[in-house]
Amino acid sequence: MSRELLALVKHDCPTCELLLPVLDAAACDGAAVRILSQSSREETDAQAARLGLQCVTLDAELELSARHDPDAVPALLLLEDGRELDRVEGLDRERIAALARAAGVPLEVGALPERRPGCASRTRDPEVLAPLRARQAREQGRIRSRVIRIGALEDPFEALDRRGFTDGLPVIPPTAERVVAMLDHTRRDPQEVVAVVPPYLYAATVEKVAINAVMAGCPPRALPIVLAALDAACEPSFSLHGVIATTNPVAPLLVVSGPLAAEVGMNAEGNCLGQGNRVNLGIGRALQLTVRNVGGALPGLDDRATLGQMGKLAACFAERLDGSPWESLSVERGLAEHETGVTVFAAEGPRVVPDAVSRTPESLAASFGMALDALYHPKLRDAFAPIFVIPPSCGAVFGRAGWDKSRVKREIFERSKRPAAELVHGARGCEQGMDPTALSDDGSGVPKVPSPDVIQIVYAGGDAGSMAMLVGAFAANERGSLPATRRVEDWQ
Amino acid sequence: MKELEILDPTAEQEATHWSLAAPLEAGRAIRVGLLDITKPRGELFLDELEQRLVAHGHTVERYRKVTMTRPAVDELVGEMVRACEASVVALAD
Repeated sequence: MSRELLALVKHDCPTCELLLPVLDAAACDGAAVRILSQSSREETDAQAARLGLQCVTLDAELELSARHDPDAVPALLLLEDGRELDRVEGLDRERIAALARAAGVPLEVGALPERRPGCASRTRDPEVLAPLRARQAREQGRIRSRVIRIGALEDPFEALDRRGFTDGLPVIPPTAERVVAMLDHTRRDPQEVVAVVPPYLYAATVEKVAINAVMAGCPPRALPIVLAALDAACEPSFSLHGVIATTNPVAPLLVVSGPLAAEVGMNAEGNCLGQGNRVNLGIGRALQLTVRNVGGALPGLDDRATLGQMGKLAACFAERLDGSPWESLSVERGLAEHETGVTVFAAEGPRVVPDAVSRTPESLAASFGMALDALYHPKLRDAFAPIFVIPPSCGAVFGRAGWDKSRVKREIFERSKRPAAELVHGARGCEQGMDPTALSDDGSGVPKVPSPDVIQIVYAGGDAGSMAMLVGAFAANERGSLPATRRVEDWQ
Repeated sequence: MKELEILDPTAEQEATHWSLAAPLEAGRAIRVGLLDITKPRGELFLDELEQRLVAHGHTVERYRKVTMTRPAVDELVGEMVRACEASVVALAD
């Protein structure tokens, strides 16, 4: 067994300069002392010339500094066959003497001050730390993706677009440093498979999701929501393949419901379905980019939408919890109140249902029922489950009347009915319609959807304005795409 | 600007290469599978196609997906592969 002292120092640290002559003398005398500078060759040489040092070498690429990861230098480590037994960071004369004795190294420490604080290790400098952590992540196998080099003469934003990695808008270049910072926000192993992604059914690891989340501009703290969203979207009953491939203009719409939404800075209030909140948009876009880049879904090839819609870039918002007259969507779907869930719908673009006039819940339900009747195509029934996004002013009308969610759904359902005779092919001067044998009308009319419980209710929006939103969902039944909910990992 | 290294956002899969089936022999009667994906009016196209194929002496087998919204299940694809020498999938719209 061989023991040695390893000293990590840097050129601009006054405490290092106190200790260095003592260490250098021992090292040059052949004692088992290695002195490695974290500074550049020029800086180290200049310091050596100034202090008359002869036995200081460089910690190339900060390899040993990274391995031993001191907070401060000088850092004096006692190693036995490369294994660390003990260390002193900063200057502590008695402890350094003890370390030297343990190593069998004669150090003349008598002239040193008793104690001096050290200086921050270079591995703590932000511009050093990030590349260092990226390198370590690669060495440890935490990141394994192929490295793509973009030439010095290429504009990275143009290069990423040319390589087919974007959705048509610029993306953040996914450097290893940024991806490692993203991965800090999950406890999951970066190589764990989150989901097998349609249409080509390739495995998306946590690392691949993190890369696409970086590109999307998603804040790292929101990564757990993206991971849960991808898992939900790849649930077989959601039928992501169909959602991608259809000519219908649907996109995965994410509703994040629970305390984590506010913690990561999501918007559940004014304009929450619109622009202006990086977290909402970043989560939605991260899911879409993952489906494109990992699953291989390309518009015009695998994605056959006739027109598409803006939500195919990013569609994500949070449910408002304060003041809600109802339990949240994720609680309704089986999660606990302290948990956060993300629910994915195969959604069309939203349309507004304005009603600032109704003061009774019956009247407001009638507005919603009529809007539902016209959803997708006014003469088609059954397969198009709706999501009502209800703002505070409308929620208050139902809340004051004591209508719970199931009552609201039932009342809207009843008011969406239309006589079968108006729905059949040719009725109302329109060939589009239903086969009479597919319609059952007991005299009260045919409801838009098969049952009240397929109607979804989400509470969100700003305090002002009686502007509810109605969002259609693509063939929301067991033959189509059923909404899916996943609990978001609590990583903190 | 200096060189930039980024991580590949794709699944890094090699493209799967499929070789084409041997061409069918001209003039020989074959069994053709017609798959209705259940889009409106898809059956009109397939009915017309069936008539023409039968008129040319071919045999036609009709198949139907459970729903247009999901890929054909493996069992159905396997059944078509076993029974037919060629297939036509009607995408309707």
